[in-house]
Amino acid sequence: MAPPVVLRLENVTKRFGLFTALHDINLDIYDGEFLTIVGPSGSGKTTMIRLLVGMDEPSEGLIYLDGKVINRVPANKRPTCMVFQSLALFPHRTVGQNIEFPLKIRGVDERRRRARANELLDLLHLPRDYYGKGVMQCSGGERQRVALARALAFDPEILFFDEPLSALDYRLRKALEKELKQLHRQTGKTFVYITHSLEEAMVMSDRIAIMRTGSIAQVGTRRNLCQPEKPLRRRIHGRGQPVRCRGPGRRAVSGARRGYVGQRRPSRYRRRRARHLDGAAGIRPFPDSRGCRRLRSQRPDG
Amino acid sequence: MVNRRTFLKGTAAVAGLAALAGPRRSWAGRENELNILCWEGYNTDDVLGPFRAKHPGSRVRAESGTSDPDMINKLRAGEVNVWDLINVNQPWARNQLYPEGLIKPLNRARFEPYFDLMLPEFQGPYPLALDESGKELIGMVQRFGPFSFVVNTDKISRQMAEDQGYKLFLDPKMKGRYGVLTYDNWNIMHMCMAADLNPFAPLGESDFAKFSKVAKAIFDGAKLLTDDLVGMNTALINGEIDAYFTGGTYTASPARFDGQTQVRGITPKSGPVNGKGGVVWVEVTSAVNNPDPTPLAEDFLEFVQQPEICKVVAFAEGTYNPVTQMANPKVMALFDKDELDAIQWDSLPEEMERSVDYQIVVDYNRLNELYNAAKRS
Amino acid sequence: MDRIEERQGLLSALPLSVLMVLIFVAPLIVVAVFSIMPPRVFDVLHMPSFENYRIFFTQGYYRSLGWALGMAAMATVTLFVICYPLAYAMAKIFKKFTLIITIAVVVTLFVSENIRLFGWVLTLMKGGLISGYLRTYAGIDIDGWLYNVPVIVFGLVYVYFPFMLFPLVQGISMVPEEVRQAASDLGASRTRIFFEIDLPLAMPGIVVGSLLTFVLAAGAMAESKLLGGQAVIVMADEIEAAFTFGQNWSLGSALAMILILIIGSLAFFALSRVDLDGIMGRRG
Ligand SMILES: Nc1ncnc2c1ncn2[C@@H]1O[C@H](COP(=O)(O)OP(=O)(O)OP(=O)(O)O)[C@@H](O)[C@H]1O
Ligand SMILES: [Mg+2]
Repeated sequence: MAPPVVLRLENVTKRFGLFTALHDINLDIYDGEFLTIVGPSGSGKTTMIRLLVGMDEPSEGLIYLDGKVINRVPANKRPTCMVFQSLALFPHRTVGQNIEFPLKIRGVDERRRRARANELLDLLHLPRDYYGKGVMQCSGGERQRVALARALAFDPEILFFDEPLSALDYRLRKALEKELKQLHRQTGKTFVYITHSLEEAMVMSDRIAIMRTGSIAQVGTRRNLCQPEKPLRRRIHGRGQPVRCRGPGRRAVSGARRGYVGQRRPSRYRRRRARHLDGAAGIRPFPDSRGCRRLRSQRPDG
Repeated sequence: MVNRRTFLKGTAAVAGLAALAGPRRSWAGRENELNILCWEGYNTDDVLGPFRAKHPGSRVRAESGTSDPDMINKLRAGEVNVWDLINVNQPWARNQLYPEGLIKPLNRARFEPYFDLMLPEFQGPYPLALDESGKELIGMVQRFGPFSFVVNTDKISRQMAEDQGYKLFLDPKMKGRYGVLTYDNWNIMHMCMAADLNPFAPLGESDFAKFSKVAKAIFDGAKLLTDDLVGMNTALINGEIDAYFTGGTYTASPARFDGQTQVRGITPKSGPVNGKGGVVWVEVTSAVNNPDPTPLAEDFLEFVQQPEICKVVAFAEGTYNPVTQMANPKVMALFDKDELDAIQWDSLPEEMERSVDYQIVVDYNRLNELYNAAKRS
Repeated sequence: MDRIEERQGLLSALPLSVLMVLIFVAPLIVVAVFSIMPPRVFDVLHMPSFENYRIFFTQGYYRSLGWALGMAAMATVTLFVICYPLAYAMAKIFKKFTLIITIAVVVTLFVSENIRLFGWVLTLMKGGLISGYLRTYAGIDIDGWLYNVPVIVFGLVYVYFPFMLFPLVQGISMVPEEVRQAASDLGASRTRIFFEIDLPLAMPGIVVGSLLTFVLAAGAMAESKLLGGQAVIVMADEIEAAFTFGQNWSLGSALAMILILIIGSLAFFALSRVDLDGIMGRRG
């Protein structure tokens, strides 16, 4: 039997002026699942989860939480929490204060707050003496962990992640992906995870929703999506993303055009990683070029 | 940052210091330059325009100050080598500027004949246009006016105001019905008179106590204080107040010329200074002791004696005032009835009769302290 | 390497620094020196004396200082309360309309302060714009609103409005929208967001705006003269009177020094506590 639906989008449309960012979305999110939303840049992923956490209202359609319409419930009254693409840490606060923020709002006393913050620091492999460190003094990767810790401190029923790992280098990213997955298993909460990369989605999720220009093209389990569907895949990966590049000078087009078939994924994956470790040219050390850019721009002295 | 005026003062002082220390400017090129520091009126184009036309190629500049001490500060701050003429009220020239060497004597032979064309009070020549010894001519006189207080004659009759004099402002019925025009140096003089003291003679401790009491009473009963005569006249006309303390033709004339002839300068019938209670100011225009003098300075003093220019000076923008040259029929012919009414020409002779000259207040410093303390409380 | 570059920087900054010192500091020094001259002298070649500072305490000048600082504080607080919502709207909500407000506020600065204040005199006085209308249409006779302390504070608020508004707009626009949303997402109500996020992050703008208005208002005198009818005498008035009618430059200098010292240390303290780089837009 399928688990109960916690969140349901029913014919949801979102327009910004004349521009339709989301068009007639229907989607069920099940309790306790790890759902990944994949799609090219500008396809409306962020827009959709902003509706779900309550930062925007849909132009049309209904959003249900546990069977009740929540269209007009403000963000601070929803049991949801989002880790922003930009992280949105409080720059004037320390790591500890950032993590404790939701607890402070809830009126938890200082000692218990501190204890919980320390637990979360441990959980996310941040040194405990980071507690008093200014959050703007942390590296990009550390900041992402702080953002995760802050969201976990809130203890929401449903956690949304808007590409929280995009700024990390490849190895750290893989490690955190694993940890996130583990976290999901430990907490049993519902995770909704946005990413650009289908490959990341494949590793982590129970189900995957593929978005394309404002609508959901396909939803399914890993296995379901493993049917070859070349045209779509190509689009997800976008132009210029070197999925399979055999050597220097061979540009993305060829790789993208080939696409890949689900069953072959592991071997391809291993090969790529090996190349990365070898420092072989032709495969970029960062999984996508957007990541490169963001990592640089997030350094305070960037 | 804190107070613009303070900084301006400071800057002026530095400029002065720099000027003293630095090399003297060359002596060349000032024949065609004239800088006048004056009360408003002389700085209008109506006055300066014809003078510039007469001296083509000259650079004539005039700046008006907001009070006598304000202008004198400029000279004290070292601007003697900037200005060529200074126009202030009579006691300052004789008692401060001349003894301090900030102004210098005029060519007496050249200017004495002009005094013969003036009103009788100023003939001979006018004593305060001379230095203490009476030998040197230190300035020319033109605008003047009695200055005591102003009432709205629709509310307080001229008769009653002249009879009561400054006691009017100590009347409990007047509480909250008058303003104080904060021309501090005048108020100090007139508050002395309100306390039956002669401000031009040395005072004793008991006199200071009397002064303090009167000053406090007058400030206490005042509805408003301002140094802006337009604001004061406005309050008088719209009925917010019925009189204001220290004022005269100088302050009443703009309202009168606007048709508000109920605004009237009053000169008390009697007072503590040899039986007189009115004070008259007379502007003295002197040559600044500029190390680099210009012949245009004396030329200008002569120029403003012409009948047409006398009229323009009397009715320049801002305020309207009688001029000493009105004894000359050629000057008088230029004034019409409304203009004469604005400057209270009808009562001018008797007001002058009841007034004494504005002189140095002997105990000014002490009185100023008491005055400011009273104003603050 | 760094050392040399630093020194070069220092060297190339030297001419301008000297000029700045001459323009800003020299007058201050002259005022400071004058303030320790005996009363009523017109040059600085006398034995120093602290007589003028004694006079400040013995002759009740502190009362004028109190009024100046008190009314400046009242005006600053009032301005903050009025300007914050408007600045918030300008920074976050209005889009094209912000430009219109900005232009409207800036245009008022082209008219001299005294003329604008006199406009208010004509509006508020007995028989003026407001009381005239009230009499004609409502039959109520009122006395006008001029010549008291509240109207002076009103004048200060009116005149220094832009000096609070624009720094606040700048400060508030420095608060990233996503950070506010994140706080809301983590359960914070609007009030909590205001105190936990908006206030601290907009603090540089708030400090600069408050400091500007306070400093300007503490040195202002046109408001108390024109609108207030000198219902109370402010420090700037006393300074002017000492320099002019008092012909006591050293007392005027001492009074000015006291005002400068108080306001200067306040400004120093306030600015040392905020991140000015932030408001200059240099935050990473
Ligand atoms: N507030 C807004 N006003 C106008 N257009 C908007 C707004 N927010 C988003 N959009 C538009 O909606 C579309 C979807 O944006 P969204 O941020 O959801 O994309 P995304 O899938 O998250 O992309 P990315 O992977 O680059 O983050 C984009 O074309 C964007 O320009
Ligand atoms: Mg996005």
